[in-house]
Amino acid sequence: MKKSHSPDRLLPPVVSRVGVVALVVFIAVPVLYLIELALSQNSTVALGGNDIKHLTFRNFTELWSAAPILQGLVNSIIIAGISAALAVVLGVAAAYPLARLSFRARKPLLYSLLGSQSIPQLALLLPLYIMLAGIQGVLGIHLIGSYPAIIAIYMTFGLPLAIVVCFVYLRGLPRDLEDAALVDGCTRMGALRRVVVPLMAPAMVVSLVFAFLVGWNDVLFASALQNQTVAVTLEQFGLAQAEGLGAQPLYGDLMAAALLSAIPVVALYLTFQRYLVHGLAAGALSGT
Amino acid sequence: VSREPRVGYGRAVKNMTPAHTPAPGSGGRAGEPAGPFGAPEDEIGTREGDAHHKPRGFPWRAAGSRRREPAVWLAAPGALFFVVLVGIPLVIVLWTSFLHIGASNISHWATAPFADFRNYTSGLTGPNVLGVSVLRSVWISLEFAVLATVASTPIAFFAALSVYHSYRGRALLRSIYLVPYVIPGFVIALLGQLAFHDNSGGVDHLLSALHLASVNTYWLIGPNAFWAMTFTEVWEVWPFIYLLLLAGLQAIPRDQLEAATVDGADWWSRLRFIVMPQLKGIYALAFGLSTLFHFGNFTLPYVMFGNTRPTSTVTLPINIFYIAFNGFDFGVASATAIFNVMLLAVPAAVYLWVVRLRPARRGLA
Repeated sequence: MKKSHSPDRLLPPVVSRVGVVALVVFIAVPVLYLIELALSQNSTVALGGNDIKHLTFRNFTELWSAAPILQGLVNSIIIAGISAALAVVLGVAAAYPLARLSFRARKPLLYSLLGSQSIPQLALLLPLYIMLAGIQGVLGIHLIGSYPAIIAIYMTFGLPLAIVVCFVYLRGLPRDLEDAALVDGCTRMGALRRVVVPLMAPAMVVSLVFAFLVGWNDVLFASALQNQTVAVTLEQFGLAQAEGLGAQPLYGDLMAAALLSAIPVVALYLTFQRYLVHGLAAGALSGT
Repeated sequence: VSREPRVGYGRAVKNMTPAHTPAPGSGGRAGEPAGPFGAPEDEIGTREGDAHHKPRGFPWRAAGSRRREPAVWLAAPGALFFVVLVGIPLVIVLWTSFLHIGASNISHWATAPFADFRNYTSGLTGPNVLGVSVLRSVWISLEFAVLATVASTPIAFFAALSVYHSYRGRALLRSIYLVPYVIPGFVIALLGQLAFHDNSGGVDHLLSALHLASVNTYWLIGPNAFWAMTFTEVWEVWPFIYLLLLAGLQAIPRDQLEAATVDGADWWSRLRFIVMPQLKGIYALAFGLSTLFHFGNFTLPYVMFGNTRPTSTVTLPINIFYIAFNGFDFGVASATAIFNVMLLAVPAAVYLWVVRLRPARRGLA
């Protein structure tokens, strides 16, 4: 009768402890396996050996020449970075009137933002590809594989969540500060710039991270539109190894590169975890 | 400058003056915690009456005046991109789904010949580049999506319960739980490929060491591939349901649990009679969203089975991609995409309806 009397204990302590250990093992084993593969020699991985004694960082120096990883990383940083920054700017701009003003297009806009999340990506990829190919054919501008096209696309896909996150956050902010600024003679835009935007920093960080991940994690659009992001570079590198084009599959290099492209994202998440978890929940309840 | 009395806006005023009818559902329940995203007075804001029926008396607008606030136009750039890169494409894909359009006439698609409904009839039922009909792919995707969600549920539920009460190390545990979810999907797909690789992969090694399966189980081809894919997906995406369930748990008023404990309820009674009933709604939402995400996952099957491409893993997105970019039949691919849109329209409508009804403070504390 003494135990489990804390009202927020919803599991018996033994079950909780055993289960947590099992769950952590379940999570950790694949992650450690990934790290081990990244630190193993190519020959060891290819043969399926387990040579923990001879772990090496050599893959991390070799991988740059094994595949155009550096180019992929640079491309991804440019594409995901710019599209995320734009998504945040447009997201804050759009969230403000949606949250604070009343106008006729408000409801249709909110509904289409939420509804757009259930549009299958392929249903957008095909027509976008056709559109780009068409414009390219008629005007002779190079679009497929160009930065502006993919940046605009990722930005637009990151936009709904950015708007929703900013919108929800903005509605939680009291109006008093803005009102004070307005009363004191600030214009609407001035109040937005000087008062609202600085207060919205947490929401903007969340939007930025999520919008960045749209571009960083995507394989579908980048491979169809021929942008060599790090995701596509790794996908093609992996495919070449699996098809045995090299004398010996460079799986060690592949996993080292994969780990390398995961680290910034995981670090980003863990740094902003507190905000992001709220953002994820907000996004899910209102359209991730 | 004289300050106008703040009547009719600001939630404190709204809650305290019964003369003002508050927007339906707003501001009613007091005492629920509002975190950074828990807007205390609104749901997602699509409910009638919140912004629309705002009582007049904004300091920046004379009462009754219909002068358009220029800040409204701030929403225009975002809306424009949305129309150009989402709205117009949807119209185009609907159009091209009735056309014969392939590699040769892709850049002058406006003049492509009509195909009537042939893209929808023979296109959806016949085998194609990968030898898997569209209808078969729908079934594979559905099985994959529902199985992955169902298998994630107990893990997610346990995980949420295990970090609800506070103890040392809880914050660390919450971070650990998120790790699979935050590793990029393409990295996990590559890892899955190597882990399930025949003979040399970790899974075969583990299972044969435990005498559960042969070291040559061939997880990347044939029907086994479906299970390898589903397992990898579950490992990757279960934290999504966990996050929503945890948010739901935190929204349950603590005094209910305290009262029950005082009355002698043990952990099971608290779980069964207080927690579970209140998590039902958010779990239904998590179930739907999670299934929707699994259904549309392209990265995992595409990258994980890059060179083997077993038919058991040809999900709907994979099939559409191959019809378009390997078979170069954009007409059939468009028809399939429209079919996909229609399949998701029903759950999407339900989702919009649920979100509209659900106060945002629920779970966002």
